Amino acid sequence: MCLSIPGRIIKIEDETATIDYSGEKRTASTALLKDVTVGDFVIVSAKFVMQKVPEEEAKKTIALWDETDKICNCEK
Amino acid sequence: MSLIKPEQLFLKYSYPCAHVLLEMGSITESKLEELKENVIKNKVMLQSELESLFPAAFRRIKEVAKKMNKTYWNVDVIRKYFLEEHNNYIDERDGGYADFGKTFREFCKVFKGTVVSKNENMLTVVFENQQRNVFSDILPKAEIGDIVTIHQGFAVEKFD
Repeated sequence: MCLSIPGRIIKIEDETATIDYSGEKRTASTALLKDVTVGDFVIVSAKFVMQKVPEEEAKKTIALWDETDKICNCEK
Repeated sequence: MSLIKPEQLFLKYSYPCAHVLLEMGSITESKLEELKENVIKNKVMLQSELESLFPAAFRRIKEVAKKMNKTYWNVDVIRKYFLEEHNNYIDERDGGYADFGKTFREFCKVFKGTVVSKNENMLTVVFENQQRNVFSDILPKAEIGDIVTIHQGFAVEKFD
């Protein structure tokens, strides 16, 4: 599980989105980015939905990640 | 701004990444809280602690310093790294950036933009034909019209 990988919004209630990361679910606030809907792929930072990710790119990134089982680390 | 210490400037720009470090499990929630308090209070942290938290940023800053012929723990070098060189490292897919998708790599870049709206602790910043809502925690004095840098979900520094 790595937040640099896009997750897919499966539910939005008020300003809380539930996001699916290949089966693992997390919640994040949509207060910073309100223009999102169920089905969107997004990037989350500091528990806030920050950015939408185009579907094609998101699927590619997730597939690459699942395939290589990489370690999530920007500080290396 | 000229009186800022290297430790303070480094923490301002690297604090947004600490949220990624938390998700990676390399720091705890309480360490993140401590970093948040330090960045808000402009506390001078130990250089050695910053280096152990952000080793890749230190490695890149040392490389930039070498090119500038300067000692690395210096405000000019640190600012040049975050404002000019950091995005190039991302484009070159240096280190951990190799594994990130395009949108996340763009999200990790530092941009300079203009504050166009302010609402409690949130700012809307326009940069390079884009717009992003960010937190003003690190830069609470930011006002509409200010030129600021942003890094991930935070406004970092104000420029004249």
